[in-house]
Amino acid sequence: MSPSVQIDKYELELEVYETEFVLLKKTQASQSLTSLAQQIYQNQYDFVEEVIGTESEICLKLNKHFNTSSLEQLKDLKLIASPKTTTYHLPVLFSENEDWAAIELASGMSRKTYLAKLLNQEFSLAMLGFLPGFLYLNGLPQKMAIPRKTTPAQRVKAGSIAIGGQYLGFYSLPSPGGWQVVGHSPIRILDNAVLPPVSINPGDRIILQTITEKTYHALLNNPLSLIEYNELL
Amino acid sequence: MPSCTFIKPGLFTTIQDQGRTGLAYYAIPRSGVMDSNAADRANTLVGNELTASLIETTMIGPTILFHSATTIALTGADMQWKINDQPVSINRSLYIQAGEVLKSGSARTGIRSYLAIQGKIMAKESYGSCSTYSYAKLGHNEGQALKKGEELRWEVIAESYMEIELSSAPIPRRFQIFCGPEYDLLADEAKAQLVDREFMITPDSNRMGARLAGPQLMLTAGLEKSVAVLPGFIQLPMSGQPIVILQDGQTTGGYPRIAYMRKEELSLFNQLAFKVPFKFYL
Repeated sequence: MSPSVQIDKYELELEVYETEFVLLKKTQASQSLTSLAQQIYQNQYDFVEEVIGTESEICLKLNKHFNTSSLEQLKDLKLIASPKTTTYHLPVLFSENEDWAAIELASGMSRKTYLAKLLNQEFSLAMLGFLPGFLYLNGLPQKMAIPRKTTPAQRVKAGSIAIGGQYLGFYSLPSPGGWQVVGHSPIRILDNAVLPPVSINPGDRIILQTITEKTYHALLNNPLSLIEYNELL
Repeated sequence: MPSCTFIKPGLFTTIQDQGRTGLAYYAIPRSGVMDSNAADRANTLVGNELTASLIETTMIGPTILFHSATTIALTGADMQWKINDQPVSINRSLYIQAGEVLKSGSARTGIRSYLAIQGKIMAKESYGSCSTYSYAKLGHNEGQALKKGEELRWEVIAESYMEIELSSAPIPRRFQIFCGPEYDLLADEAKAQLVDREFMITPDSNRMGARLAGPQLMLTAGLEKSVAVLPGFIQLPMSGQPIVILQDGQTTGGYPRIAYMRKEELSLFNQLAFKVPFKFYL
């Protein structure tokens, strides 16, 4: 058993991997680590080089300033009230082809039924990861979960919206990918010229919105950020 | 401003520095030099700060015409470098005259070579680093490798030439690893195979990850959720072929993290050529 550590309201398991990295693992399935990861990141501890927050743990990459008493600083952490979450609409052109055959087969639903349920659902940003601008969204009902492809596609287009297990995903960059693509969004989520590079925060909500091919192309030619698009609505 | 022209760019030649830190939170990898020991040596030999950007070449290096005289140093893989057709040594400071051509052959020992130029290379920065990261178009040349005919300029900070020579460690065939967070998901037989059997890096590897061929390592279970990964982490997909996460690697992954390598070890590992057998030890 790993030792446990209390940080603010969080009861966590602490795993220290020499002077390389530390994992803070959640012990209660219902508790979200989002706010804690954000607070640790914002506190900029001198012994922490990187903070990676996922749903089940927070990983801290350590640097040369790490020593045996460093972790004591974490115990004194006080959570500042978590920021208000924002709800965004994300326009998507749902396509006929893509990976719908696999989705229909795995869910036992027709494309039309599955799509209607997707549009009815509110998603929330679970975490950032994989590649810059990739969004892992929670909120997909269990019966709509679709297994990943056994062989990943060589290239998934930028802007693709896809299902991977229980997540809905958004690809900001073209990359290989094993998720089942349902459509494409013309909205720009990643902006490498600014910090933070992604303006949506973990916990923020996303509602998918179906758009026509004409709107899709119009937006693609005149790309807007998620915030800019929602200001127009 | 002093400059040089890439007559031939080489196979994959990029500008790198120590990388962009603190952005893994936003899924932006650190990137930066693959062999930090060699890069540090090159910068030291020309009297630069260790944070200075330099040129990383992969397997086949470039041919460069220098328009200005300067102090340079070559470290890392021995690419059979020549200045105006005369062989030159790696791991020492060299003075190159205006009009001279630096030319590489192919890598003999190791696969990555570093060229440091005294001063500050004029390269585009993204988030405080010039490191080229192709996927997100970050760093010099919007994340692209240096091109044929490209001119690179540098700013002279302090001119000096010291005759220095440094030695480099040979590339080992055994690499030290430590048990990762999901080491215990390995089947007993796989735990033994991990250290007893030989592996090799397959040619579909890149700066994101080194894919390994070797014994098929069996897992007793997979992961339900994606977890954090860092350069040096060894992930094991259900296929049983491990992947070592490298400098441009993703920040989260869905596979068990069976082991990890320290930064110093990863520097050595990153000089290993494809298909060269090696072993891990715990």
